[in-house]
Amino acid sequence: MPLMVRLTRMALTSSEATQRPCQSLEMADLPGPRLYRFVLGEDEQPSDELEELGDVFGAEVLGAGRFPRTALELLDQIDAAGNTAVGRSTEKSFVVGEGINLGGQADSNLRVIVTRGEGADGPDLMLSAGSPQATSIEVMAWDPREGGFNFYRTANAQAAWIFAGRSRHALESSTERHGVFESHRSGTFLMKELTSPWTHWHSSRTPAPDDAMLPEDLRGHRWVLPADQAEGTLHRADDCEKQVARPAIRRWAKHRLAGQPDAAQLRRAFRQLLQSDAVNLSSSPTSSATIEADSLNLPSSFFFDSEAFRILGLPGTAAFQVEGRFYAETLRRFKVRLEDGRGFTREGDTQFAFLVPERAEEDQAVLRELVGDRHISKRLAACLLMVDFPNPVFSARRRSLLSHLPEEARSPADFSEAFRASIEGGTDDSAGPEAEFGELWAASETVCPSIAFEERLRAYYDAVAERLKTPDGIDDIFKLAESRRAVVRAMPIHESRLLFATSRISSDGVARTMTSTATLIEDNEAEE
Amino acid sequence: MAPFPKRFSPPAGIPEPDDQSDAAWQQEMNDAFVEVTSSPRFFKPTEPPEEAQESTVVPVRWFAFPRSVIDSPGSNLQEGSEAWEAVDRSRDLQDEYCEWTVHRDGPTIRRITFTSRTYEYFEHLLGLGDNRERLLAEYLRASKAGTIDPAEVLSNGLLVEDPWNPLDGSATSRRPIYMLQGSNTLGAAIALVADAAVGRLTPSADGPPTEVVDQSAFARCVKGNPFRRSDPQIASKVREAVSNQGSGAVSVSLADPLGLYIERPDPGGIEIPGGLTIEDLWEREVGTGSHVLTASLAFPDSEFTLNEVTINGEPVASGSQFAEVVNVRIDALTAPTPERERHFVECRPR
Repeated sequence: MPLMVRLTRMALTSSEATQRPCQSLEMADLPGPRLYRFVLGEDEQPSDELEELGDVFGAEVLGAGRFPRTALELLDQIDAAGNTAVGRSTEKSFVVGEGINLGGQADSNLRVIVTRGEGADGPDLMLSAGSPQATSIEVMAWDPREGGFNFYRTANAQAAWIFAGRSRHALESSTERHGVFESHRSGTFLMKELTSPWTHWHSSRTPAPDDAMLPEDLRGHRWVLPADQAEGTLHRADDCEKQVARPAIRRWAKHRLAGQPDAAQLRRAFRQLLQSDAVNLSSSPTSSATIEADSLNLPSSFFFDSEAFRILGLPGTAAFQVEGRFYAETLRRFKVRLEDGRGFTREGDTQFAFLVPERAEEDQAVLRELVGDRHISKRLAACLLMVDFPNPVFSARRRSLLSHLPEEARSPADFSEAFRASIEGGTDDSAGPEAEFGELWAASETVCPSIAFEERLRAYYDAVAERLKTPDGIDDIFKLAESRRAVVRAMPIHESRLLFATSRISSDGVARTMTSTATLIEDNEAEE
Repeated sequence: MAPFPKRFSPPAGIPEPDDQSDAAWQQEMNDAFVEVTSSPRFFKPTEPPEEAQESTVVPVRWFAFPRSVIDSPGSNLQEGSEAWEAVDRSRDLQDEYCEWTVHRDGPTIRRITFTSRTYEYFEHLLGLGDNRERLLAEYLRASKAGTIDPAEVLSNGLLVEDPWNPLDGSATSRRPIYMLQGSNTLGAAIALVADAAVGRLTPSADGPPTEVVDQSAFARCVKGNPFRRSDPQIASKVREAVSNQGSGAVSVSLADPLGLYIERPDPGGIEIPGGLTIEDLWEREVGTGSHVLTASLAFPDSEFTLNEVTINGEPVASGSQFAEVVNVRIDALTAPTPERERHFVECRPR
C-alpha cells in the first residue's frame, strides 16, 4: 500500500540553508522500527509527513509496515512481497573498497552494492551496505509514478528508516547538496570509478578480496560467491558499469529532460555542462606493479573532455603516454605513497597508476540528452566546452559563463539563443572567457566545429605529448593531477584516505591550470 | 561439484558420430595435455589427482571486445567508434577467444554473428581421413550456406580458413566458421592454465624472492599482455586457486567439455525497438545448453535493423558494440590434491 501524502513543510532557500551532510541522517535516538521523512534542506527534523512512494521498496516493504533491520532482511522482505520483477533471480552484487587490493594490510573500507531488477533501464533497486547483517543501509529505488529514484537510509540500528528525498531534490536549490545529495549530486547512481580498470572495485582487472578481508557475516555469503557458484551473485565492476551505472544515469537524465524542459530545468542542466559539481575517477590501465616495465597510457580525459568531444564529434586522441621509468621517478621524487591514516603506508601510486578526476558521466548523460533532443546545438555545446578546454574539470573560467544563463525562456531553443547572445555581448575583457567563446563561435560560423577547432586541438595534443617525454613535463602533469585530487579530497565522495595516493606536493592555496600550450600555470590566488 | 569425465567430450558436448571420430578426438586432446603438463598442480581432467572424487568448476568470464586495442601502450585508438570500427574490420584484432562478423546491407546491420569455435575441431575433422563429408557438412551447417563447393573450403588437402569471412573483416552473409586469430586456440587456453599453475617469483632487494600476486604483473610472467581481458583473468584465477590452501590444496585443469563459450548479453542498457528483448534477438546457432559456440544477433523479422538498437544510449553502428557486452567464458576446474607443495619459477616477463 503506498504511503499517502501530507505535505506541509517549510522550504528553506539555498541562501538560508546551511549545507547539512549525509551524517545528519544518522540519529541514534530516533525511535524505530518506522519510516520518517527527512529531506534535508526542506525538513528541519524527521517527521511522519510522508508522501506517496511508488518505488518497490517504499511501496511494498515500508508501505506494508515492514521495516528491515539489516541489509539481508531487506532483500528477504522484498522477496516476501512477491514482486518477481525484483526477485532473487535478478540479484547482482558488486564489491568496492579503497583497500581492496591491499590484502587486508590496510583499512579496506569494503562495501557491497546489491541490485535487484533488470532491463534496458537497469535495476529498479540498489542498496549499499558493509555486509549482510549491516544495519547501516543506503537504498535507492526507481519510482515509476514520479519518475526518478527515491533515496532511503537507516538512521540507526533500530530500523528507523528515513526517506531522504527524490532524484529531483538533487536539482532543487533548497535541497541540492544536502544529505544524500552531497554525493549524489544530480540525483542518480554513483559509481566513482566508472570505467576500466575500475580502480578500487572487484573487476576483471582485480580479483575478489580474500575471505580474510571480509567481515565474518560476508564470508561465504552469496554476495561474494561468483554468480554461477552455488547461489552466488557476485559480478564484476565491468558489469556494474554497463548494466547498472550507465543505464541508471541515463534513465534519470532522460526522464528529467523529456519533453520541453523549462528554464529552471535548463539552467540546472547547463550547469552540468560548465561546472564540475560531480566527477568520476579515471586512471591509466597500467597496474602500478608493472609501471617500470613499460610505458603507460594516461587517461585522455585528464587532458581534455574526451567523452564530450566524442559526443560532439570533436577531434580527440588517446596517445598520452609516458615512459614507465620516468613516471616511477616522479613518484619517488614527490614521495608518493598510500596511507590509510591508521598506520598503513606503502610507497607508490594507487593500484592503477595516475588516478584522477574526470568530468562526470552524469554530466555527459545530460549533454547527450540536450544534444540528442536538440535543446542545444552541437555547435553551441562545442563552443562552450572548448572554452578553457585544457582544464576539463574544475575550470573557473568555464564556470563563470553560468552568469549568462537566462532566467526565463519560451522554449529550449530560446534559452540556448539567449544564453549565447548574453555571452557574446558579455564583457569587454578581451582575455576573458566571453571573448574566448566569441572567438570560437565566430570560427565555427562557416565550418563545423570539428574542422574549426582541429588545428588548435591537434597543436595542444602534440604539445602535451612532447611534455610527457621529459621528466619535467611529467612532474608538471603530476602536480596538476594533485591539484585536481585536492579538490576531490574536499568533496564528500572522498570517503577513504586510500582513494588517492598522497604526495609531498602541496596544493594549499595554489590553483594549477593547464594552458593550450601544455604549460602548467601555478596561481596563488585563482581558485575553483 | 562435478564428477570427473572418463573421456574428453568434443566442444559443447556435441557427440562424435562414430568410434573412429571419438578415438581421434581423445588422441588429439591427450596430445594437447601431454604437451603442456609441467606442473604437479595441473592435471588432465580424465586423470584427476589421486583420491580426488569430485571437482569444482570455476567459470571465468570476460567481454569479447579486445580492450587491449585501446589500453596497450602505443595504441592510438580512442574509445568509441574509432576502436569499434577498427576491430570490426580485423579478425586479427579480435583476440579474446571470440570473433565476429557483421552482415551488412549497405549501412544497415542485419546480423552480427559471434563464434568461439576453435580451429582444433576443424583440424580434427580434416584429420579423419579421406572422407570429407563430415567436414563439408560442418562447414555447410556453420556457414548457413545453402550449398557448398568443396573447392571453397579445401585447397591441396588443407583447410581454407574461412572462405567467406576472411581476417580482414570483409564479411558475406555467411556465418563465421571458427576463430582465425592466432591466439584464439584451445591449445593456447590449455597452455595458459598449465603455465599459471606454476607460481612466479620476483627477486627482492632486501630478502628472499617474493611471489608475484598482482594480476597484471602475473599476466606478464605467464602470457605477456596484461591488457587483454581474458588471459590475465584466467591466469589469476588459476594462481588464486592453487595458492589458496584454506580448504586444502587443489590442482587445476579445464572442465569438460573443453572449449570457449559465449553468453547472451545482459539486458541492462540495451534498448531494443518493437518491445523486443535481447532474448528475442539472440539465436544460438551451434552449441548445447550453456555451452554456446556460435550465436547471432538479428531481428526475427525485417521490421527493424540492429542500427535501431542502442547500447547505453549509443546507436549500434558496429559489431564491436555488442562485443562490449557479450561474455566469453572458459570453465576452469579444481580438484583436491594430496600434493601440497607448489612449484615456483622465476618470473621472466614476456
